[in-house]
Amino acid sequence: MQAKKLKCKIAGIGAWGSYFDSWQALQQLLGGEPLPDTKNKGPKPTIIPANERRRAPLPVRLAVESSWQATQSAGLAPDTLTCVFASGLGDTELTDYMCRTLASEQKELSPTKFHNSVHNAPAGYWTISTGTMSAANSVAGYEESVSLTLVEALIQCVTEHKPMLVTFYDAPVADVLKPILSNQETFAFSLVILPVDANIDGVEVTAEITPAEQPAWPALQSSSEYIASMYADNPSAKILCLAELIATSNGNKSVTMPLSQGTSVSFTRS
Amino acid sequence: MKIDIIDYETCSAAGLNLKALRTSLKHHDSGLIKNNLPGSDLDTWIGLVEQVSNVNDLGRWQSRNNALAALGYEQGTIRQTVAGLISKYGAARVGLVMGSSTSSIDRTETAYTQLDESGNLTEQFKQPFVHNPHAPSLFMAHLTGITGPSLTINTACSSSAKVFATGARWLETGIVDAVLVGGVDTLCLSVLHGFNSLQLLSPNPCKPFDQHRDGINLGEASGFAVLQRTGENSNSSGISLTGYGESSDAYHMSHPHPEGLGARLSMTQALEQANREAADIDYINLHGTSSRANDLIEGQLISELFPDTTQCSSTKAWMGHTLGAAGITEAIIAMDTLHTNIIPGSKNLETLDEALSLSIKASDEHKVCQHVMTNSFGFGGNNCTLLFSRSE
Amino acid sequence: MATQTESELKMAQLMVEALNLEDMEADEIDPEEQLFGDGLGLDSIDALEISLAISKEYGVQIKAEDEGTREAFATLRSLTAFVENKK
Repeated sequence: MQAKKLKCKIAGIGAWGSYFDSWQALQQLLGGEPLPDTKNKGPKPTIIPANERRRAPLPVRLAVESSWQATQSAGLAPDTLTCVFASGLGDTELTDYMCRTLASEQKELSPTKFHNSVHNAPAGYWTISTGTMSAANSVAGYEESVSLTLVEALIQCVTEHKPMLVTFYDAPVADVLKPILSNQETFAFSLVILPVDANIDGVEVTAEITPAEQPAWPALQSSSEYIASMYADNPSAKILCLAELIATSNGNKSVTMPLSQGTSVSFTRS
Repeated sequence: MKIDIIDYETCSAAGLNLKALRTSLKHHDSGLIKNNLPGSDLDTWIGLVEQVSNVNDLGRWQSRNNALAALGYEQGTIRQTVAGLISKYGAARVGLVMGSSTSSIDRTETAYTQLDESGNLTEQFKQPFVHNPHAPSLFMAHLTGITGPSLTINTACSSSAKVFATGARWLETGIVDAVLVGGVDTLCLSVLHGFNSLQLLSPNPCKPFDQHRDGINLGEASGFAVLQRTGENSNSSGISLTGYGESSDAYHMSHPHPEGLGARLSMTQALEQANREAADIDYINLHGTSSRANDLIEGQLISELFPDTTQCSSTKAWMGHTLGAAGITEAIIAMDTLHTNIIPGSKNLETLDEALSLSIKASDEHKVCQHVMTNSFGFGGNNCTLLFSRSE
Repeated sequence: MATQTESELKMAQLMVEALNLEDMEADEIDPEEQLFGDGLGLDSIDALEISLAISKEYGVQIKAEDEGTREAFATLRSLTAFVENKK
């Protein structure tokens, strides 16, 4: 069977990192603006009820903040969206806490930290905070997290004809795991993806999966060292190659990402 | 939706493979034992797969989780089936979707007990492909030679139920011609002490839906199934995935919705997708963890939604709650009733919870089923229901 | 607000720390206010978290299923008295 072309519409974007707190601010950095003098504190998304927020670890707050921004910019109620959350590394601070505690004499774990340690914690907090009862997926694809998750979300959008929220987030890695998982940057990015016939304005994108031998990530147009470092080490920041495609309507029309050992996926703007 | 199940295999404390599981189910032999996991003195019962410790030649891939995945993949004909599909369609036209909650955190735990004097990872544990949530798929792609898309779903205890939904969608769009879906989770200190911190572990063999149930037993398992579009493979098992439902509770991270609203949605969606009525369902393999909350809420919901003719059971007293592997383990038990024509009883059930009135009993029932379902509910209020039917 | 005793203040400090209660000082917790539901708004996972902190600090084990646990967790006052009795 021939693979269907996966066509959709990007109708909302959210972004959060140490030096940007919105998609607009990130676009300025991509466009060559200098970094602000100070790092952002937070985020502290107020959409999470206070009672849940006090328990929410950084990756959850990152994911929820950027998801909220994307739904706001699309002008859609969050609870109408089916969601997919992706992180290449998960919450390594909680992994570190659990493994450190379990290697000690006193092995009692905090029940709150334990339930937060599931990879789908951001999906859980998001659905609780917004009253979303639709499907919430939580996936991982290591260095290909971004391409695999985009394909997963587009497929769900096309086959089930559902409006989707897709969020990527990765936080700095705990010290012990740094030698093998090097990321030290904070990054979250969200897209609201709609079926192509949706009655809302958006950037139309078509994805096509093709065979490829050992595909590699493309170079970014941005010359910022900060952006380059995130793109290299933070699995979620791999979305920046698509972000550049969306941000510049007069630049490249297409970007190709590695999807697996034997396939790549191209995204083309129409 | 028309998806055929070409082959399936399961490995748990109740049987190293599907054949052994059928025997354990038939004789009501439980695989649960008193907790003897090294480093853990918790008073509970576990479903341990003893043979896992013999798989220690995985080199840079070594972890208990990967060992259990490798052990499961050697069972039955699953390896031959996948190899045949790779040679027929090409490795890049076969997809892989694994579900897990622990991924390989067992290995990270061990690494932390052997840090060097400066608190750094020692050489043998510098395994980037193991210490990350995608580890199960990275390893299985390596083991199988699949080079098509491979994704790991980590939605706690619904993980390896959701792999069927994702695999079905991939096939529907034609991005692959076959998908290997799987689930794997292993016993480790994180889950034992984690569930202990929630005061959910039972010091006794678990008794799902019983009036006197007092908590869950944890277990470990791996399981696999091969999916293809209907009619594209004449060697199908005769079983089809005809519906799935996926939903969220939007209620609490570690407590089910009191009225089971999310679970209701996932069950009704699965029925709608399969174009079936509740009365068409012959058997439901329940999530049935044996916790006070889950069994009460799930049980009440079932009696609201399904007639008495729908027989139900929880099979967790055979191998424990295998967390991220529970979805596929129980999907296989449910679909295999279409092959064995035996609905397994709800083992260890003596006195049904007096607040419940669903069709559930400890003894087996011989019945030629047409449609069966299975429920999987996870932390974060993450629900998945699968519906399997005899192929037309 | 009713006045906190010294041991109640200590218990309140343990709670604020264990639960990461935002924007709340230990001496602001009314010892007679309901901890769950409409009062402070705590839930079952908070009760488990407090139980763990109490077991570490006072060596007193509290099981969610035990009789008396629900009453103990009614207010800061009842919880402090429960732990004092068991020590």
